[in-house]
Amino acid sequence: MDSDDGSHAAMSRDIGRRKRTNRSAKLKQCKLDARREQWLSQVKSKDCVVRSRAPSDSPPLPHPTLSKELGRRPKEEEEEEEHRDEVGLDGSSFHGSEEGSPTHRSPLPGCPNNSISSGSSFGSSSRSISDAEVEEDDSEERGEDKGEVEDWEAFADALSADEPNPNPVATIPESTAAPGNTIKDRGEGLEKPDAKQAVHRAWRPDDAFRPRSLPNLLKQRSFPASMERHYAAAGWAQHGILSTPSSCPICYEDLDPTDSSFLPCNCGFRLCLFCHKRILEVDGRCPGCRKHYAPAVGGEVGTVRGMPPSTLRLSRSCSMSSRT
Amino acid sequence: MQASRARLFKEYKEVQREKAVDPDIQLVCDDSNIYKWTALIKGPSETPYEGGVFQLAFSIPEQYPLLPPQVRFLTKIFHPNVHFKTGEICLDILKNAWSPAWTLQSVCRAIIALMAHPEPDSPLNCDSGNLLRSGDVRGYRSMARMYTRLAAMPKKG
Repeated sequence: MDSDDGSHAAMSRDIGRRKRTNRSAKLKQCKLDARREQWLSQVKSKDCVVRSRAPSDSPPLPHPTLSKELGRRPKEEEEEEEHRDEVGLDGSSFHGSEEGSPTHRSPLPGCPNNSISSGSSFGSSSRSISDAEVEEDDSEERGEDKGEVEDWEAFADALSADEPNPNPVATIPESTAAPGNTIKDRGEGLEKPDAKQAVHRAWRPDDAFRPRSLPNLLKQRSFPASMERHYAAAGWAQHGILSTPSSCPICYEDLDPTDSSFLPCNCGFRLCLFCHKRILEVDGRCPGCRKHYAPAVGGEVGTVRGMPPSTLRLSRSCSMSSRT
Repeated sequence: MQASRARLFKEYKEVQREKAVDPDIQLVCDDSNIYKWTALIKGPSETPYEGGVFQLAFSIPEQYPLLPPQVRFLTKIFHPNVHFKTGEICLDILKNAWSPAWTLQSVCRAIIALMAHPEPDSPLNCDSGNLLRSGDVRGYRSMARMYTRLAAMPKKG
């Protein structure tokens, strides 16, 4: 597999860069989260039915720029990803931030998984394959809705890693045709097997033919769930001026990583957890906008916490999945 | 209360480092008590306070920065929002609009801004406020100018 070799090299290169660009990765993280937040809210408003790949089907959107963003999203993100793979520091730092936070694609509870994450999971799926392959996919995807297949595969991938599934790899595509199989049952939630899927295979983690470039699902599952909350909260940092400061503006102490990912208020004002606690004890208003803290933060955390753990796990594995 | 001390130390260092940045403000900490500060601010240009140097006294509560510092003018000033006798300042950010994100430096800037833009509708100095509210800008300016000359300018000769 020559593409495999190429991707492997690219990955190790990325790991090196990731360390150096840790800081800018954080900034990117904020922007990315903001976009994700926006996008998720769009999907939610559409009852989780309309596929992001078919923006023309969507009902009229309340905000013109948002709808534009939604429409252009899948294709553009894909292109961005390609660009990043070839070029720059920027790209790699983006990667770093992506992998650093599994929350990105965590869907909301009750939403069919792929209606949300199909677009954004392209990014990660094209990451570990070679450029040539990306381009090829590119042209294919213009024509047909390949996102489904991809997500389906990711889903199956996750399942096979998840449970002690006796089925060998090769049987998985077929098994979707056979009713009663567990994979089929869950896969149906995602709608669709189509003709294409026979080409794609889901890899078991211990499969001898499994490409090395595929991320290890078991490892991904070990991400602590508590991280999710912080990153979800970070989604509010939409304004450029409010980029992460290096020290707490209240006590002037340096912000540690936990503090920097802590965003207690919609206005994006950051401070350390210690000062936040002290402020809550006194008057409970955000120093940035002087509005009261509590409700917004509580709501945000609540929704994320309410997510069933299986959804979290699956969404994460989708985002990290790779195509062969 | 330990937090307020730490924060004030940091602000002190900041002030030392950025002395040149804002030449209109000079903040000095009391030698023996970090909760007492004095500031010297220059009257903003194109106001009746131009050319004057006004002294402010800061008294900082132990809960700072959760509570605002208490600030008053030590120099006499004729301004609608400053009490003529006590020097008390009527400024929202020193009361209910205080935010812990403000610093002593930024409070000084806010006070300079208040000098340039008086709010005659919430007066502490009624004489001054009434002059402005009745539209007698000229009267207000000349009074303010006079007191600036008397109190805020170094004596000549």
